[in-house]
Amino acid sequence: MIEVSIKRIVLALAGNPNVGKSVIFNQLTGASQTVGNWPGKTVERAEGKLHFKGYEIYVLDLPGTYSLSAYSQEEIVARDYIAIERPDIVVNIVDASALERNLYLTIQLLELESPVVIALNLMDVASKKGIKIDVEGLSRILGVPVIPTIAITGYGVDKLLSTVIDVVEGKIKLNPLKVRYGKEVEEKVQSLSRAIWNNLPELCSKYPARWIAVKLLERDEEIVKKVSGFPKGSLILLLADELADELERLHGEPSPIIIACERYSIITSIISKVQSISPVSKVTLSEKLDYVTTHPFLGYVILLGVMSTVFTIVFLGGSFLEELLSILFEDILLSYVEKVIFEWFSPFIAEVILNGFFTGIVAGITIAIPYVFTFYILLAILEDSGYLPRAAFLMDNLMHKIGLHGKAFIPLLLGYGCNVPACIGCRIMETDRERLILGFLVVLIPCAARTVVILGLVGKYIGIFAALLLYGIDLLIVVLLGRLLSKSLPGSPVGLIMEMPDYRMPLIKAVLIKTWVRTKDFIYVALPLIVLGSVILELLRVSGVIWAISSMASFVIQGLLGLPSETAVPLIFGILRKELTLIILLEVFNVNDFSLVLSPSQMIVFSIVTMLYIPCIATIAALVREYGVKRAFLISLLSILLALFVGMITNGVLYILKY
Amino acid sequence: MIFRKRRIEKLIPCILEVLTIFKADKVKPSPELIAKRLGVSVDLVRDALKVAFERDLIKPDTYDLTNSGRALLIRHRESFLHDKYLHRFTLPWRDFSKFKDADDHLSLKHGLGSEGLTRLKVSLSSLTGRIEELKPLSSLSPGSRGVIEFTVGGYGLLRRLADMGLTPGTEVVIVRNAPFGGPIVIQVRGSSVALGRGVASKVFVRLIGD
Repeated sequence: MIEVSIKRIVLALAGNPNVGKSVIFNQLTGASQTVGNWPGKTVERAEGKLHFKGYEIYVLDLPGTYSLSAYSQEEIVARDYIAIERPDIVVNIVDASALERNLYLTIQLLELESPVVIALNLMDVASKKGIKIDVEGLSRILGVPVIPTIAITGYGVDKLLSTVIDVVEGKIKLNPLKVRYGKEVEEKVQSLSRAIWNNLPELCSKYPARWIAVKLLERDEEIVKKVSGFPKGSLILLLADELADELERLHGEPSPIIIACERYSIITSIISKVQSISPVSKVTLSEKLDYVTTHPFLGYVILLGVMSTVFTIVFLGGSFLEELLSILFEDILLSYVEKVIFEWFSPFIAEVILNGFFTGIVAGITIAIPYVFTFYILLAILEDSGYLPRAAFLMDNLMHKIGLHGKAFIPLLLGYGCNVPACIGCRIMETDRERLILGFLVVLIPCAARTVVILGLVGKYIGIFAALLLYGIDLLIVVLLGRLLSKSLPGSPVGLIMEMPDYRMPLIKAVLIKTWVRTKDFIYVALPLIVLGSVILELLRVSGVIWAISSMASFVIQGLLGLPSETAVPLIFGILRKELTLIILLEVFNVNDFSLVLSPSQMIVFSIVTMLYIPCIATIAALVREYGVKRAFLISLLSILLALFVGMITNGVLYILKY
Repeated sequence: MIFRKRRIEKLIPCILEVLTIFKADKVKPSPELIAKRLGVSVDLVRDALKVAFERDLIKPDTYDLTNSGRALLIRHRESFLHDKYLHRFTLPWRDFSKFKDADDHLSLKHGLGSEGLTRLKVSLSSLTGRIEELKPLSSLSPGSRGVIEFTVGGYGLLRRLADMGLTPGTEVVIVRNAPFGGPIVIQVRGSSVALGRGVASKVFVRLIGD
């Protein structure tokens, strides 16, 4: 009898950032992929499935890293997955046009004793740069298959897959290069790994003993922590420290640098055997673009152009989609649902369901999605083309003034369109500290909805200059808070160390897949929160509790801010959607002209509070998604306190000025 | 005579530098060779050597540095680096009396942790070229080439740089220099890397011609 069973292969993709890893991932999995976060980490985890020659291949896209040290979360995630989960195969995607730097990761993958197949990607770019690589020679030296690929055209991807299957089936035997260091280092690695093998058999079942030895000599914090958890660990750590100290005395460099140098010297000797470069006199288009976009004058003009284009498209495209969706949902769907619900339920429950639940869903779909979706498309294009590093390069100097580096510019600017994508954009910062500072700052940027309030109130009744002054005040607050946070939060500011990849034509398919996957992910997280917030608010309103809250808040509203106590209600509802504050303000006072009920100074204070206080519920959802509940709460709380504080001061100043 | 004395004082650390280079290159030192390398007269070198022998900075027979000679060399390198490069980024009117000693000054004022400080001393002591020949990446103009000698900074920075291929001994080419103290772009191991001005001012290279 023939047994039919599905043969499964777990395949992990590893490689440097900007080597076309996500393009290969898309080629392999198509739209079947899902994106989430690694458990307990804000590191994106993308996975997908495909069928090939009777195998079901599960593909996991590891975060793009330059190394496997414990420097960043991404690197820890990648190496722990490879070492502990033991995928059947690790496909290492290597940039043929920067082979030397890329092999640094390859060497470390070989040290982890993982089954590696190399995809030598960007062969076309390499040959344009005059770089010739002896593929067979490279494969012979590394002892693993090397498949040349051009990911954007799909060239070599089938060959890659069939090679993977051949390796899994044992048709191709891997004979990976045994990484051996120079004499002094090698002796120490060997004696340490013998000691580890004898004393820590439990840890050796997870990681190769030799690899642990190298990592200990590199003083890798993660591994030191793991080893110290074992009874005999302190003994090993003592030995490792002694050996590392001896190395440092011999070479006069920190041990991690000594070992990095050793790895690079292995790579240099490989490179000298397999790579030859014939100088190309022709300047490529990418180089020309690079020159123009980083030019001290033209660069800024282009940056301004690109950013205003992005801003306009997010704003216009978003509002167009919003209009379209709200016609669909509010006018057609909601009026139908309204009839049905009022037939079935008692008025009280019906109102909660309708105004809370359904309005929440509609608000989520018509507000968040148009802007988020549009932003994601543009972000994917900017990411895939390679423009983002150039923008960061140009803005690095200015961003240092608020304690961050160049990359922080992008989320801040996007905040003027919508805070939601801005919050998500904060993940482009490398360290936790930078990410947190930026999170505090982006929610203070007045988004399109808040612009409506500022212009509709201050701009219309007082004058456009007063409105612009509010923007100025806001920018000042952002700069001051940025400086304050970067000075007071533990840790030191991180300087910019960033690869400048070549310009590439973004692929429509890759952009769309990326956008779709990310939007889907956002809906899963944000929509429930928006609906929940909307239901709670509606419950408060229907039950009349909201009036109790607003009368309780009247001390703050009237006493500190000098606003009529009725304004508490629009401010509370503003949490749902900031532009709602104006509409509800009209309803509460039952007038058509704000100048009848608010003095100019009250308008200014009201606009400032609206501009700064608690981000809207969609933004809070994005914050929870990116930072976790605790930090999202902290950021929201700070923005409320800041709004009250600045509002109070403005009120006081205007009072003294007798305005 | 006073001028000559001062010249000798200034020459001594330079002689110590040259002796370490000769040792690394396995050249047998002599007053003539030293004078040629430094571009001064042999007489002056002979006098300076005499003073150095008297102060027990150099062993007369082998021309090896003694412990106090090595200490002087490191101090010379440190103060050169400090005076020439580090103080350009700080404000002149800050109070200097609040620092205990040079190390205290370096750690409080230039943000070098104790670890970074030790690294700096170790890299300075293992330097085989003259400190005067080194320049930070931030001071170079596009097109110039250099070999990385050392980086002033903690483990974290050193590791991040090493991961991008910037290890000691690596050749780099400056590609672009942003205006107003912005970042620089270098070519290293076949890829372009942008470094913030702060980072670039901590990476010291020895310039090489084409």
